[in-house]
Amino acid sequence: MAELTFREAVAAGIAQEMERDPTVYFIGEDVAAAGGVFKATVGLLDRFGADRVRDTPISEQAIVGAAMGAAMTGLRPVVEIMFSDFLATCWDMIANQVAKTRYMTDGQVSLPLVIRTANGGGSRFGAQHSQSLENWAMAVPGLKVVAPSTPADAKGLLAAAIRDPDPVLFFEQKSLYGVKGEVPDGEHVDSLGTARVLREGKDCTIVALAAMVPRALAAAAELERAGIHATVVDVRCLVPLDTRMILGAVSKTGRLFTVEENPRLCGWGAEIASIAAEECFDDLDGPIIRITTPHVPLPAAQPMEDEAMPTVARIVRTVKGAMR
Amino acid sequence: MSRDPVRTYRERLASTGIDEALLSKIEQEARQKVDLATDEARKAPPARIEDIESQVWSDGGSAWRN
Repeated sequence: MAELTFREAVAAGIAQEMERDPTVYFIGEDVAAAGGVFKATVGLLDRFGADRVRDTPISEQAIVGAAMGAAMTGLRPVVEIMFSDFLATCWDMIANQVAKTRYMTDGQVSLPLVIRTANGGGSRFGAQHSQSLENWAMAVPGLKVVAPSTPADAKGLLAAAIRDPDPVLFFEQKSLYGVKGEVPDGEHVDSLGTARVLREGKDCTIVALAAMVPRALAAAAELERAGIHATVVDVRCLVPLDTRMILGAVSKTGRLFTVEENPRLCGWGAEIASIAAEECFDDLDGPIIRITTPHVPLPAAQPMEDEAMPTVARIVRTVKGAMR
Repeated sequence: MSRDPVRTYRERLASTGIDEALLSKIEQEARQKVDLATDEARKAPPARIEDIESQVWSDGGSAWRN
């Protein structure tokens, strides 16, 4: 095991797959010589050369369009969209073209394409550079959606995404880039569509994603001291969704809380709540409760942003209040 | 930075015969405006947590349900 930062793990995941498969290449804005605005691709240009690691013009449509064509004709592109907010500028390419090609060609055309993007709040970037947009991608049939919470998962799930024959949107929560963690040595490939139970407790299940996972764990530790034993599930992958593991935890504990960065309406937790209500209603001992950002654009000012996103204190307060 | 439009536009204006002193004055005024706005922002009271849910809608609030 080596200790890597989240950003180093991202670069290691791309490098591992580029080393293994000559059809994998990587493009994006300032990703080559500069190593990415979040420094998550440092070293790739030196190691793999300018044919396979390329800077693009500032055109997200061109980036995704070029990658789509390359994926259709036999390559396995990995692209970086600098901020997930910029997905809006190439959403036609992603939602109308990339996501639908396999279906509309009756399976004749595969699109093995990974779109990595820096997602989420907590970094004081303001409303247009801090959104948590995994729920947009989740709503489009034909896109797989991944959002890791640790360096090990960043590398392993990114490798799995690159090997996957379908288009994958890979959301990297930008406040996690500096987080360090143990990453397995040698080749490390995880499985898409698998959630992970990080902590087991008998009283309730807290389901979280990406940067909300460490907060859910910290809340669970605090709740433990108050006599509430919480299971914490890291969803890791929204599509495909590991409903078996999530519902298994809910059935064991009888209570479900989701912790989401998404603004309230139609966050991914709503889908999980709906599935739980439909499929394990008889196991529930109380209402499913979603802990979300309020339905507002995320503010830039530090105290406002900190308060708007789900905090450890709010998770603890909400769970305690509901479990009384 | 050789293609920085702030720099290249200044060069272009200079090439049309606009006086260097005038260009420097325009730059200085722009810098002063930015510095003044930055000072004002720094001196302003901190953002208020109670404003998180204001001004999403024209009624000044953020309600999305009854």
